[in-house]
Parts: sequence; C-alpha cells; structure tokens
Amino acid sequence: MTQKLPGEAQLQLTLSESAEDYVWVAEIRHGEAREVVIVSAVRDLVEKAGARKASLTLQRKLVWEQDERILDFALVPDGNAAGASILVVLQPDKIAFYDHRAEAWHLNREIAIPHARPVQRNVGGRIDPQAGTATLVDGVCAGDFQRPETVTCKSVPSAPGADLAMMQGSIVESDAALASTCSGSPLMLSTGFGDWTVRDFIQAYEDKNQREPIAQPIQFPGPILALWPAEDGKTARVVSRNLQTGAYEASIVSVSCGD
Amino acid sequence: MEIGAIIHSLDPAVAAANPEEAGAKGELDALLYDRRSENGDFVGTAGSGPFRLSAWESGKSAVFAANEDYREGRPFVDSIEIQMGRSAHDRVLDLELNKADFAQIPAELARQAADRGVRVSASRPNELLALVLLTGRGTTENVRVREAIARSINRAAIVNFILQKEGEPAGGLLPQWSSGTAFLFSTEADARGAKEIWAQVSPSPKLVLGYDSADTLEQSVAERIVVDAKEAGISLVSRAISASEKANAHGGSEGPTPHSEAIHADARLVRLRMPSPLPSVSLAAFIDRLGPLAGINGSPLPKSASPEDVYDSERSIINGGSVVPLVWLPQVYGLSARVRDWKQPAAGEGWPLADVWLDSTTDVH
Amino acid sequence: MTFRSKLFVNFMLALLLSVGLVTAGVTVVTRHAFDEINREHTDALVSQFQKEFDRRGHDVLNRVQGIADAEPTVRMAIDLSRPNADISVYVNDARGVAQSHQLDFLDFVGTDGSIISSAEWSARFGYKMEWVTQKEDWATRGSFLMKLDTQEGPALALMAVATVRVGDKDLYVVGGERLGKEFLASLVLPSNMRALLYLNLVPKFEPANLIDSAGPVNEAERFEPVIERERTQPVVQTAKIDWTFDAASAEIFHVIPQLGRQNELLGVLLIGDSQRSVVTLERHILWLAVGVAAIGILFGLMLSWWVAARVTRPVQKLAAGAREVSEGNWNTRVVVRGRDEVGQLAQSFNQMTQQLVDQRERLIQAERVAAWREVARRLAHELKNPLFPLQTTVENLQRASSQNPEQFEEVFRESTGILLSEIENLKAIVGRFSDFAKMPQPELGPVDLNTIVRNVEKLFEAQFSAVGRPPITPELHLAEGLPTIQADATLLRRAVENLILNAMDAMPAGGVLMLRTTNGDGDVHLEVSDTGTGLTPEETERIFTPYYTTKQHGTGLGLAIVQAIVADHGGRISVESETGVGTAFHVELPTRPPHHQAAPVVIEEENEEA
Repeated sequence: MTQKLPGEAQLQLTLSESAEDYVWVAEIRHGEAREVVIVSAVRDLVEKAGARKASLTLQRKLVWEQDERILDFALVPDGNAAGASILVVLQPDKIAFYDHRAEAWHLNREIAIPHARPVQRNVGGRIDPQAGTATLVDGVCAGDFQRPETVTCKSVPSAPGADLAMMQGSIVESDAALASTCSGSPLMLSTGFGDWTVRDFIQAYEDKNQREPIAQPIQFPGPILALWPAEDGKTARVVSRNLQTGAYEASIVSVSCGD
Repeated sequence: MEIGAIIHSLDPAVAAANPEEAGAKGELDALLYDRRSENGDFVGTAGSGPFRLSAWESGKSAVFAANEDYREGRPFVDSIEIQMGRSAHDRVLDLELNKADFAQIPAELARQAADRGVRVSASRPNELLALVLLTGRGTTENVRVREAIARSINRAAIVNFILQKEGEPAGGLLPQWSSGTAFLFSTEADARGAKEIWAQVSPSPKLVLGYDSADTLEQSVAERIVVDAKEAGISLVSRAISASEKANAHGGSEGPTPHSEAIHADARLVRLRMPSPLPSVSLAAFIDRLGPLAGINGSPLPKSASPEDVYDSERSIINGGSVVPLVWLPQVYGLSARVRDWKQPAAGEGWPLADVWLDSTTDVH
Repeated sequence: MTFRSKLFVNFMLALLLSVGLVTAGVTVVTRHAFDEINREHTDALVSQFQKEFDRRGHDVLNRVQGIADAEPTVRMAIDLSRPNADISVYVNDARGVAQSHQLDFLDFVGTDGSIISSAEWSARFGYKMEWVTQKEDWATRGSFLMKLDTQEGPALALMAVATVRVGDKDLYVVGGERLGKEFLASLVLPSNMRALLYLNLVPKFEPANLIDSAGPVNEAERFEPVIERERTQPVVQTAKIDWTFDAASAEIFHVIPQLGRQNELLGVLLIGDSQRSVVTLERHILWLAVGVAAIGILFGLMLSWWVAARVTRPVQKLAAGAREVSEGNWNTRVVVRGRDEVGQLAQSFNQMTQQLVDQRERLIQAERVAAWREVARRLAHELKNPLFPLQTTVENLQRASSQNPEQFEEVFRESTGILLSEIENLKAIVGRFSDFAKMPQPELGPVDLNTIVRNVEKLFEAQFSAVGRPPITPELHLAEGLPTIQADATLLRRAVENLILNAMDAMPAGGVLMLRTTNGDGDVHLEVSDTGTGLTPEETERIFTPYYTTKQHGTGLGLAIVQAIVADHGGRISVESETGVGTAFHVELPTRPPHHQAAPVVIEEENEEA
C-alpha cells in the first residue's frame, strides 16, 4: 500500500511474512531520504519452526512420442497377454494399438478412421478405455481395446455446435487416493494459461476455489494439448507438443506425497 | 522391505578421508546423527541417527545401512549407496537412465533435467550467491568502486539465462520467505549509473574477480559480471581460484578464519548456505563467514532478534558495499520415479532419506 | 719492366677485363633472370594463397549457412518468432553447434540484435550485436574480416552471417574462424615461404600482434616501418628485410592489407619468401663463374706468357743483339724465323750489323790505311830529314871527288861525320818505331796508382822548373784510400810519363799541370790536365792515332802508346779540351781487368721456354 504524505513524502506499507512472523513494513520516502519501520506479529511457532508441511510432488512419465498428432492415448491391460499393457493412440486419421515387448512399444494394429468431411484443424478426440470408445467430432472407434482386433471405426455426422473443450486452463477434478501422510482432500490438476506457442506446466491445487498450489509445478517442453484423468484416479493423461523437437508426447502425470 | 539402493552423487569437490571432513555438513550428518544442538550442529555419536556407516571409500563411494535401533524407527530403505565424484551432467544422466534414485542437481540444470523427464524437486531459495569485495585491497576500499560494480550487475539476466529461471534475484542477504524484508533491497541493474560513478574513479583500477574453479555456476556468473562491468566501462577480469589456493587462504577449510590476502583477487564469489530458516541465525552465520573476507564487524545477533534488528544489520552490511548479493538458489534434487515420500528439507536440514521409500511397482521404461 | 713483361701484363689486363666483364655480365643477367623467375613464382604463390584465403572464407560461409539451414536452427527461429518466446532455453546451444562445425565463433542473434547464445563468450547473452541488424544483404555479402571483442581481448576473425527468417522475425547466425596462428598453420605453403599476420587491433604498433604459425614472431620490431606504412596507406607492397649481414638471410615480404567491411585495416598479411635458396644459387653460380674465370685467367696467364714469350723472343733477341752491338760486338747476328715485321726487323738488324762490321772493317782499313799513310808520311817526314843531309853529304862527296879532289879528304871527313849522325838519327827513329811495335803485354800485379803518379811527378820535378823554360806548376790531388789495381807498374808508369810529357809539350809558356786520382765504381780515375793551348775538335778526334802529332817534332806515338797501355789494362782514355784553356786527359782503369771476347756473337733463336 502506498500513500502520499503531506510535504511530498511517500509511504509504502507492506504486509510481509518471514519464516517466523508476519511482518508489517512501512517505507517512508522523502526525496532521497528513506526510513523503514518494521513491526512483526508472531505466527504459530508450532506450525513454523522445524515442522514440515505435507506437500506433494508431481511427476511426469513420458509414455510415447511421435511426429503425427496425438489426440488422446490410453494404457489398457493386454487382453491377450496377462500382465502386459496395450498403448492406444488416437490420431485424427487413425487409431493405433501398440504392444510392449523387449522394453519398447511395437505397433500391433492401426485402423483408419473415415471422415465425412475434411479433417479440421482444431480436431479433438478422447478415448474412453472402460467404455471401449474413441470419439472424434465426426468419427468414432469402438470395440474391446484390450483386444485390438475387435475394434472398428466409422464416420459419424458431427452434431452442430459440438466440440470437445480443449483443456487450456480448465480444471480436471481428480479424486486421487493419496498416500497415508497426505491429506485426504481431492487434488486438482491444472495447466497454465499460455497458448500453443509457449511451454506449459501442470500445477496441483488442493481446492479448486482457493487455487493454492500445493506442489511444485511440473514443466512441459511445449503446450499441453489434452489433460484427462486416468481410470485409476491417481494419474492423469497428458498430451503435449515438444516445441524443440516438434514431436507430440503422451505422458502420465502422477502425484506422490512429500516434496 | 526390499533392499533399496539410492545412488547419490556428491559434489566432486568432496573427497575427504572420513565423513566428518566430507564438507557436506547437514547432508551426510543427518543420516548418521540423531540430534542437533541449538546452533544447528549435529551432536551425539555417529551412527546414532537413522543410518550407520557401513563402508566408506574416500572420494568414491559410501554405504549407509539402516540403523535397526533408531529411536524414531528403522528407516524404510535398507541401505543407501552413495557414489561420489560424478559431475552434474552425469548425475542428471544417471537419473534419466534410472541408475540413480536421488541426486543433487545444480539449480542451473534443473530445467534441463525436467525437460528430459527427470522428476525434480526444488526447495525454497536458501543459498545465497554473493560477490564479496575482499578487504585489504586498496582498490576495492573505494566506495565508488563498490557502488559502480554493484550497480552494473544484471541479476535478472543471471536468473533467467544462467539459472534458467531456477532462482531469484537477491538484493539483501536473506530471502523474502525468511526475513520478510528482502523486497526492501533493490535488485535492479543500473548500467548507466554504474558508468557515471566509475567515470569518477581515478585512476581507474583493473580488478580481478575470483571464483571457485570447480564450480561451473560461479564461473558462468563471474563471466557474466565481467561482461556487465565491461558495458559500464569497469575493467574487471575473472580468475579461477583453485582448491589449493582456497585451502591456503582458508587454512585448509572454510573455517571461521579465512585469510583473504592469500587469494590473488580483488573480489570473489561466495556461496552462503542458510543454516537455519530463522533469519537471525542465518544472518549471524553469514556475518561470521563474511567478516574476515569483507572486513565486516557486526555485533552478534541473538537468535531471538527482531525483524527490525535483522533488517538493520542486513541493511548496514549492504550499505557498506563490500557484499553484493546476487541471486538466491534453491536446493534442487532429482528423484527417480520409484522414490516416494520425499520431503524437501528446510534450510539447514539434511536429506530426509530416513522417511523415503521405494515403490517397486512403478514401471519405468 | 721488360717488353715480355709489359706484353704479358697487357695480355693479362685484357684477359682480366674481358673475363671480369663477362663474369659481371653473366652475374647481372643471371640475377635478373632469377629475380624474374622468383617474382613470377612468388606472384603465383601469393595468388594461390589469396585463393586459399578466399576458399576459407567460402568454407566459413558454407558452414554458417549450414547451421542456419539445419532443422534445430529453423525450429529455434520458429520458436523465437512467437510472442513471449523464452529465449533463455537456447543460451547454451551455440557452444555445441560451434564445436561440431569447427567454428571458433558462433552467435545466435535475435531480430532485435540481442545475443541469444554465444559460443565463445557465453556470458554475453542479452547484449546487443547491433551491426548484425544493420541493413545489409547478408546472403550476398559473403565472408568478411572483423574485429571481435573476446574474453581475452580483441581478436580478428573471418566471419559470415546467415539469416533465418520466420514471418517478419529474423534469427541471425553469426559464425567465423579466428585468424590466428592456427589459421596460419592450416595454410599450405612451400618450404621457403611463410605467412605472417599482423592483427591491427590496437592504435599503436604492437610487436606481440605480429604472429606466424607458431605464435608471436621474433624481432617483430623489424616490421614496424612496413606495418606503419600499411596503416597510413593500405596498399599491396613488397618489403625486404635483411635479418643479418648475410644477403642469404634476406626475406622478401609481399604485404597484403586485410580490410574489414568498412574498408578499415584490420590485418596485414605478409607472405615471406626467403632469399636463401636464390642467393645461395646465385653464389654458387658466382663462385662457379669465378672459378671458371680463375681457371680461364690461369690458363690465359700461361697462354699469355707463352704467347708473350713467343712474340717477344725475337724482340729480345733483337734487343740482345743491339746490346752486343752497343758493347762493341758489331759482328752480331740475330736469327729470327718468320717473315713478319719482327722477322723483317731482324733481317734489317742483321744487315745493319753486317754493314756496321763492313763499315768498321772499312773504317779500320781506312784508318789503318790512314794510319799507315800517316805512319808513312811521318816516316817519310822523319826519314826525309836525315835522308836529305845524307843525300847532300853524298852529293858533296861526289862533288868533292870530282871537282875538288884535294878537298875530298876533308870533305870526306866532314861528310862521314854528318852521315854517321844522320844514320844515328835514323836508328833512333827506327828504334822508336820498333819500341812501339814491340810493346810488351802487361804483366799484372797489384799497383798503387798514387805511388806511380807521385814517383813520376818527382822524376819530372827538375824539368818543371828547368832553366830556360817557363815554369810549370804541378798540382797533385790524389785520392786517399785509392784501391790497388791489377796493372803492370812499368807500363803504367810509362803511360803517366807520356801524359806528363804531352802536357809539358802543350805548355811551352808554362802553366799548371794537375794530376788527380779519384775512386770510381769498380775502377780508378786518373786525370792529367794542363793549361796549355788546347786542341781543336779535329785534333781531339785524332789525338790517339799513332804518328798523329800536333808537335813540330816527335813521332806522334806517345799518346798512341798511352792508349795502347790503357786498352791493354782494359781501361779507357778520353780527352776534353778547349783551345786557349787547356786539355784534360781522363784515364779509367778497372780494378780488375775485363775478359775480352774477341769472337763474333751470334744470337740464335733457341728453344727457350716462354
């Protein structure tokens, strides 16, 4: 707070916080002269001295990257091989299924998605693994994603005004079951407010109203194009673009208790 | 509980005969000791803490085994294997390749590590990088010289480019979160003002800025300060100070009585790690350390000193001009995907490895 | 100096001059030829070097363009073209790219001229490189020289700029190579050439800024005048530096100014061409020429000597012959083969000597005849005197016998007395002639001339002051220490007596008779002079002829006897006289008598060595 005082002096009042106290700082400027008055108000020491607040760590695991556009992806159990996973990647013109063998993903099957009209620039898509569907504006693929051979794709007429909200700045509610040292309140993951041209991040919030971050944000090397909760409720699916390499990246963001 | 191997790479400068001399006070000591005294020193016997030292190869590796009898409970991991002497880039690589569970990363590499998918945890800024104009040098006793140098430095460029935004410009000796008054110290650069002040210095001296030869951040910062000074017309060159030179100057350790005369430079970069979140304790420790270097004679601050007293002491040191705070650095750690319950340690605390555990179900590939 | 020596010297001078001129001419021509070849060679190498320099510039340009065209750079440009682009992520990119493209300098510069990343001086991020954004078509500019500020101070670099344009934003790629010793070391030059580079980075000449492939050049101060000239007026020039007093140490430098974008002098390239090989070759040729010349001169010397000998031998012979003739050996012949002028001269000489001999014979004959005539006249005159009375007396007797027989006995007595007297006269005359004819050969022995002169003078002392005649005053000037001579004392005494008698006869009115002896060079001199009437020149010529006399009476043999005695002793007698003043006889007698050659001399053409 700044206020002009009589005689061309200027007062700036600031409420600050130190490690221990709240600190009121009054800075009085009179020409070149400057005077500072500090008054502190002691905070709860139990809360501050030595104690550590429970906080979270966000971590990102890159699952897949490719040069072609990724709309959404999902990891589903492999119906043909127990204990293994299948990576499903939804692209504007096809859906691809990958097996994990020898420490790498290998293309199992890909199915072209017919479109009633030319593919739009702002096309979006989302996979619902449990429902076994992958939905685009004017196309849909359906089947048992755990068995790719059962999946088929067809074009559908697009509903007027229908669009899938791009995830810029929106909040996804995630009921993550946290570890025992964390509080039981739900977590909110949110991206930053940049556009397609800048690097983005994901931040975790305790409360969507308070919007107070409770973890260090996790940086991404480019804009985040899609952010969906995963089926397990503990992780989120993130599609982003790497500005340096130009590749599309599919990542899993998970949360762990502690810094 | 399965065996957990946490590989950590200490700073390559650490190569001591035994942990007591490792110089990483607070990190390794926190594993071995149970209690700390009021002034922050670890007390008691080594091994009374959550871990016991089971192997130590000076400069190469160490193994800490869980102390089954630790009074606060056995740690979750069975052992911690520490590798020493890995360079910062190698440590980041180890994390990328999942060859390490935990490693300390220089702040300037944090962003790069995160870009490569490394899980990064950064503390609040608790280490000050400052430029100290050494006492006993006729050249740097001149007030105008000090002011010109201080004004020429562009802290924002250092934070944005060298630290890749992992840090904060520092105007005072204590960070905002600790003192609450850091905002009262200006961090703005004033190249024009520096030029005008330097023009009044006659004869204009040629100055030498020393930095730790083993510290790449100090080298980068020193080179940038030289460039900024050059723009202001100040004749400043940087020079690496070797470990032996530093040892000779400091009597073998960064002890309380370093001899600045033995260092052949007019100024040098100094890292000051906060021993405590409490501003009075940290400031007192800084004064203790800076006194012989910068010729600061401050009366000791009590631990319970008021914010105003802390501010006054801080302001008096800054106004003296012999200490120029540059940037605040966080402590940055890289963690593998399987490390759980990592908590960022507060200033002055060691690594809280007693509380972490390893999640073997995490599928990393 | 003899004719042969003169001729030889002249031959030698001519030869030396010719050889010298030829050698000098050859040296000058050779040097010019070498200089020309050297110049062409160096021009070619300088041109080649310039091409190499240009090629390096193209190479730098290509590398910089390659970086600009590479995908990471294009992506960087695309990223930076977006609003609020975060340029800090690229701050360390330049170093790796520069290393991989082997560039010493590489900067990525934003559209506003801010340095995004700098390989050589990474701390310069954020500062402006305004010259890059000045209106210039970098695509056509090519590579150029530039003075750069580096951490170690100013440096010279071969730079190029490439532009990556995205929308209305430019990303500049500024790269280059440092011009230093490594650059010079990478240039390919022949072994006798080297490249120096002066980095014109400070206002004053700085010796440490003159470098070669190994670093700062020794004795760089020697180049200061050249560099200062270039700084005043940058033009291509040549300069020669003599490193020592030895000409082979010289180096010719082709000085090529290196200009920057604004035609400012940034560097001076000096291509040094060592003169060692050329000078050494020239010296070899010179020594070869000198050697050949020396051999030629030596040969010429020998040839000249032989030619001179051949040429001069006839002349020598002629000279020897002339010498013989001058010594009196008129019967000298010179045998010279050849019909050239010398041969003709020899022929003429021989003719001349022959004529001389003939003439001498004739003269001798004539003189002999004249002498005989004179002797006959004198004899006739001498004999006539006594013969007339004899005749008269005999006629008286006849008359008396025929006419006055009574007086015949008296007349007979008187006449026989006269006859006997005149017969005595005749006997005396015959005796004198006989004496002259029977003059003995001298018997030599050591003789003191002074003693003889003194004794003879004493003998005549009484006559000098005889009653009835005007007195003659003798003067003796006898040299002290006169060496003894080998002579016949008796004959010598007789000669001295005759000379004194002759002098007395020349002074009928009295006078002074001087006797002087002096020491000569290998001989002794006797002078007998009087103050008598003197002789005419004709008389002087004939005074020694037998029976020649100026006296009314006398045989005229006295001086002839003196001459004969002197000649027998190997001496010489001469006379000088002036009528009315007096006469002086000079006798020279050798201390040792010479050996006379009576046979004729023939100077043959022998096979002498030249």
